[in-house]
Amino acid sequence: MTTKKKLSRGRAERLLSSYGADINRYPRDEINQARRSFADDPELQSAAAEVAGLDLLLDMSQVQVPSSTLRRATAEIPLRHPRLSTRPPKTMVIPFPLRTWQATVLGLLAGAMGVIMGLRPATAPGLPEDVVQIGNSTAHNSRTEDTGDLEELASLAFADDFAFTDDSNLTDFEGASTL
Amino acid sequence: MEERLQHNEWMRDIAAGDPAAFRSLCDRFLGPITGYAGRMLKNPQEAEDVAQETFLRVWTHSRSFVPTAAVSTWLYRIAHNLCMDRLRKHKRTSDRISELGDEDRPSLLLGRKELAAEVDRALAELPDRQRAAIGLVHYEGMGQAEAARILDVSVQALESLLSRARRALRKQLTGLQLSEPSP
Repeated sequence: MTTKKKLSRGRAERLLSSYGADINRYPRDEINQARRSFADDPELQSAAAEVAGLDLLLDMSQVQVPSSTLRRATAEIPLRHPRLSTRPPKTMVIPFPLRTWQATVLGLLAGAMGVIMGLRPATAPGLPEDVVQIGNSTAHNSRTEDTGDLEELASLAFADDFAFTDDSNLTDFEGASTL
Repeated sequence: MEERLQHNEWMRDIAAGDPAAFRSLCDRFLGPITGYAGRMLKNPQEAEDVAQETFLRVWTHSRSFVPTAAVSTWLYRIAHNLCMDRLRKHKRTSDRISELGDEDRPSLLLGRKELAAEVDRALAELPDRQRAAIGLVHYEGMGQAEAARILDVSVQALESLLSRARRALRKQLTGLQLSEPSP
């Protein structure tokens, strides 16, 4: 013998207040029980009739439909955002043996370090302080007639703020610290 | 169930870069997603922006889709989160309706268009999460589990949101009637 279960009054009222009068909106496993409960209970039926009025009003709300512009823009998404590759490579491809690759990287690093060390301004012992050694060559930094033009141009451009001083080199002028 | 399998197949093809599968997904879901965003935002242009952004994310993030959830759940969740982001930015309040004077209050008998506008206005006045719950369950016809998943709440919490939303709507719309018979 099968007992046809019904919902408790509280649960039936809860379903009405949450989902409205349309039983098809109720949780699937409670639909049959709800149907039986409403069929046998005039109070629930009148409560459902009242709630159905709100359902009808809600159904009057108008839904926005996509414009043709939106349809076009959406359809163009794959064109405007092409996939670079549909499948990423599983492993990194190294075009030559690993030992050679490692040696090349180390060599490049060492070379870069050497260049950096060689380019660093340093005053060689025995040279005047205004002579800067760059690699094997030397450059004299004292003011010459050539830098006189530069000074004139700088004073025209920056007034007195960036004028060269007697004991400064080309990269150390007044006002630089404020930049 | 068959529909869900079809959606999963589209997603698999989209993940492989198939524009035709993307178009099929758009044909199926662009309308509902735009409608949902329209109800949430009450701004047609913003709703369209959200819909477009949703499908752009589908295209660019299709590989992150895990078929344990329905494609529709994933789509609505993206759209819902985008809507909530915009609503948070705008901090929409119910000031507009409270500013209306008595002369703006609706009469009891209204034409179909006016009544629909009143319903839309009442929906717009709901707190965002309540409006989302009504939108998904009443208008999109979504099941409880799916709607709860999109809103990231339990089914009990969803029912609570729905119940409060309907109570508020009943209060706002009480007494309104259609002045003309239904066609």
